[in-house]
Amino acid sequence: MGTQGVTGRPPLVSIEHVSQSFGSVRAVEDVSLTICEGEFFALLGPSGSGKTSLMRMIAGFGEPDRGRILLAGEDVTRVPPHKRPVNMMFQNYALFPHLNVFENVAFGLREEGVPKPERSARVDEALRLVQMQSYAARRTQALSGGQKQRVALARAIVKRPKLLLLDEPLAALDRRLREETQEELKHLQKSLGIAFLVVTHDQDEAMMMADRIAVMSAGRVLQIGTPADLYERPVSRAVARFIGDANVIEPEIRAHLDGRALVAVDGTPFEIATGSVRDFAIGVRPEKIRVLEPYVSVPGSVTLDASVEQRLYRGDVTELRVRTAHHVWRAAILNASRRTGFMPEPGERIRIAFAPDDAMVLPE
Amino acid sequence: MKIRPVILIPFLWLALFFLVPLTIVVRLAFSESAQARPPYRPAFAWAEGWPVWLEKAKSLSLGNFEAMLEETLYIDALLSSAGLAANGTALVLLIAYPLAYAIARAPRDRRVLLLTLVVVPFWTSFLIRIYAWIALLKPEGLINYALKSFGLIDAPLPLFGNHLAIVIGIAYSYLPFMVLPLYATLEKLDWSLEEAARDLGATRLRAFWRVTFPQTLRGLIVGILLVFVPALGEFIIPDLLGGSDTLMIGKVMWSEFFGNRDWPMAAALAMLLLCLLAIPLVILRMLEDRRETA
Amino acid sequence: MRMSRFNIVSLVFGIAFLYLPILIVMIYSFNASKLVTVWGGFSTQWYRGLLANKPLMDATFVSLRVALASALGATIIGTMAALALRRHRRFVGRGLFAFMLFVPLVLPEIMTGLSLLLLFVALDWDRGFWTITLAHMAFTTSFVALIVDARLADLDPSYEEAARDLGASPLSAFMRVTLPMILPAIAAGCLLAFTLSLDDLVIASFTSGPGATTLPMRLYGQMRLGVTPEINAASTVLIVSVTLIVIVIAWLTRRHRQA
Repeated sequence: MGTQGVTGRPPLVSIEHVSQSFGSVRAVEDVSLTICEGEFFALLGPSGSGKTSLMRMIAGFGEPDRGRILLAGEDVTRVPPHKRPVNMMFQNYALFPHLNVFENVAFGLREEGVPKPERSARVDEALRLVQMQSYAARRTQALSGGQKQRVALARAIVKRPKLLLLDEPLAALDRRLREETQEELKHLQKSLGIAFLVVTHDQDEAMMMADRIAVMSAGRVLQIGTPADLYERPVSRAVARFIGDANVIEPEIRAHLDGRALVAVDGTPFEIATGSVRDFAIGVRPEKIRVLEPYVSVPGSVTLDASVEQRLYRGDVTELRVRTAHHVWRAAILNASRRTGFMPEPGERIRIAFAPDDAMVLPE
Repeated sequence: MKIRPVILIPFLWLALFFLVPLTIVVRLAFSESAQARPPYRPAFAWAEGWPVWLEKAKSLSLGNFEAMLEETLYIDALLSSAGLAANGTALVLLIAYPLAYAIARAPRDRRVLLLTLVVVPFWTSFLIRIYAWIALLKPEGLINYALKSFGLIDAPLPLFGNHLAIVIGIAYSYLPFMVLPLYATLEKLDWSLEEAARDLGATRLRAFWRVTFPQTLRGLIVGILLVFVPALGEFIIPDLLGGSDTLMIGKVMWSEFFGNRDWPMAAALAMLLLCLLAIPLVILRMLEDRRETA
Repeated sequence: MRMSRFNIVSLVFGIAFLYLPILIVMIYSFNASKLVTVWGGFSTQWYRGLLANKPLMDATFVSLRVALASALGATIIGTMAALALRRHRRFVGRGLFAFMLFVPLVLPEIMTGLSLLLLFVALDWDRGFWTITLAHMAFTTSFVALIVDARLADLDPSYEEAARDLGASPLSAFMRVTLPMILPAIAAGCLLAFTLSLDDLVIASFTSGPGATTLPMRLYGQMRLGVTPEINAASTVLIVSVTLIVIVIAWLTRRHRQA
């Protein structure tokens, strides 16, 4: 896994040790990653993490200071944007206001010199793919946000690029439309077979759509992997916190033996598999923590005495803030199990428990 | 570096029609008046070249500038220009601030219309706008006529051909220059601050004075400069509305040039005016820079 | 939001202050009486008089030709200057370039006029139609540049990037996307240059020669002698035509703002 891409698919884009700075600001630092043909890849990170700069370099807007970018085996690092077989959907869609929907979509084909009959057939097809064929003659200003997004998508795919770049494609849509569009984008990507690279700051969006995700922060790639990889096996405290919720605890490390370590939290010892890692934190997802009545113990689990500080009702789950001897934890109780399960009040003394296998080892 | 025509053409144009004329003004300012065509003896001839110019620079004719100091006419003109421009600016401010404030507080969909209404007269001929005031202010003009027919006055009020007329003319001509920057700052204001001040017990006036007004200082300064600077060099307003004894630097320049045909003196006055104008412009520039870094 | 009484009074007073003097000129242009303060009934005789006034018509014709020629020239150079300034963040003399471009905006007309006259004298050019036209070009170029520059500044760069991304060369992206989008601003700048030229008295007075008298110069000569219904009529014609131009400009710039 890691930088090697999905097995069985040839690499399409190879980014090799790319760095870029603007003045004294280092936007991208020594990033290497591979995107495979037909893959749905997401760059996920907060604003300022360098994800947009990286995408713009792939499109040809801005050159890396160091490193190179290969596209289908060809070095395109210094190739101007109009000569790259890559198209981009801009965050604000950048639909040309002086052209109508049809002319917007036909823009790239006209630049390419595609003859008129073919041009119009391909525009029709692209508009049909995004269900906008009846809007061809409309002015773009008259469209709704969702319609603009579809036209921008049609304009970007009509040239049949090898790679489609999408800069925060759903950021401008409201929540319900966003969820619908996520599914449609995913479906469209699979049926076109074009590799998609999405830049987003929304982890749910990335998890839902992407085959693989690169988590970025401060210009660096923290981890690359499938959504499940990132959620279940984060390599760092930052990824564990950024993807989903996690209780990140600094344990007392007592001994190392044969790829396992003996650690203790609040004085309660347990053993976990660590491989060759010697220094680490542990992360426990809130939903992996069991909330128990006091004096109950679960064999094989790490059990700690705790008290409830706060109870937050969240719809699907109820979140508890609990305090043990030296740490504060978040635990989530599925509300579906509420009728049968235990639901303590703030101030109540309880116990929490988690399986040692559910403690994720976070080396960084 | 590649030479791009899109830079080169306007660059050469500006050099020829801005920079060269300006150097000629400077050169002329140090020359002496003469009975000739053109009516001056140049201090520097183009053919002489740098060594001679340097030599001459040591013994420059500062006659024009000395005359400026000796003749109280020029100093008086300058002071009176500044005074009139300042009074005009004050009157502009008095009318423009409530106007800009009212526009900024008008319903959102009306603001553009109101602002357009303020700007449109600025587009119509400057000359005609000044001329309109002649018809109003003259002793036999409409204002005096109206006052007389209502029996409020017996003899016409002296409204025309004096400083008052010039100040009104300045206020009328430059009103939009004050309204626009003031409106720009007022529009961005968070009105809830004024409400907060009133909630805390301030009267409407106190709330304005202590909360809103300080926040509009930047627009106020920009507006004052935008009115004061061009008003200082004004020629048409004092010429048409002022009396024959009106002293304004623009008018003096005009008469030195066209009347006395003393081109070097006109150029020297122009230089002096330019130096004075540079001061507020530098202030404006510094304000802009501060806003950009802020 | 309800407006307070004070705000309404300020608005009414401000707008009245701006419009009443002009309106009075316009109303009295239809006055049958030659006296300014006496209303002698409605008449259009002064407008007919305008057409018969040959010096005035000649001056109008000179003004229109000067305004047309100088506006076209200023539009080309001003647009280039704005593009140079916005598109090229670094070139030798950029600071000087910006200085030379924007100082004329605040220079008193009397200085612009004097310095340009001295240039024409130094170059030994005969003064007349062409020197006025060049002088007007010189000072209106900055205004065109200011308007086009403002439009370029709030033009989202992603439009041109999108064009490049879709396969357009830099030139093609400019011609097919940027130029059509800034065209309203260029047209507005051109009309502004036209009205500024039409309006100018001071610079024209310095740079004109025998045989080239512009309309403001002619009007100014007559205004110094006093208020006449004929000037009122000429002023009204000028006010109405300029107002129409302003409406066109407003319409042009409004359209791009919606985009």
